[in-house]
Amino acid sequence: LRFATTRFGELEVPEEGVINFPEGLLGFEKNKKFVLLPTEENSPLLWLQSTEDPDLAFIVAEPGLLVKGYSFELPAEASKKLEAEKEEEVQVVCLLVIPEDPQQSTINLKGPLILNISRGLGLQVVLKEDYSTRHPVFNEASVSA
Amino acid sequence: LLVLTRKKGEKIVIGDNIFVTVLEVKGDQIQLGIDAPRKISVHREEVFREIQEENIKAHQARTAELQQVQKLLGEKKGEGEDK
Repeated sequence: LRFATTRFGELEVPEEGVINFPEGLLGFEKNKKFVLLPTEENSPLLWLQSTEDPDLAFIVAEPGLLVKGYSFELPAEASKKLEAEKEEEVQVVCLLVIPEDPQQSTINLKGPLILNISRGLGLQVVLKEDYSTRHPVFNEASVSA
Repeated sequence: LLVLTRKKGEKIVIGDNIFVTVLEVKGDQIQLGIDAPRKISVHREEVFREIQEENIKAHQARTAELQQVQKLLGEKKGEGEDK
């Protein structure tokens, strides 16, 4: 699949690398197809780039690499929609918001994206667990310093 | 806007497969039971809006800011390793 992006120029990825979000992301229901792209070597951050809108890209991260002790029960409807029989089949990424002052960056732990890479499916869920949509990536001490 | 009055234990039906039951009324709090197909997501409105807002804030991620965060993450990792 070939598609244009504003940040990375024209890209070509194999069809199986495309992740379908049948419901889109909240607020972006029209955009269904995305690819995950690495940022830098050894970085926990990834780009989630739309293949349909060249300008639409999110920065995501595997939450376990940035936040300690993050865990939740996979909502039943999620495993069904993602055609996942076992929890091991899915991968979780969370969206980052990077403001002008990067020290104040936050990660959305309340609405993670659940991906079933082998099926090429993704879904944004709203967790029952009490997590913040704006969890600080860097600790409060460094934010106030 | 359709306005319906219901008593405790009564239901409304939306379409042919979404049932909303008034379970409990206590002062200004009302407990609702929602029976809907799994493909229909049901959320408290404020949580739904909050996530929508965060998504909108996140969607214009820029490369320059990403690089600054990469740098900070690198420092954070470095600190961890010193200990």
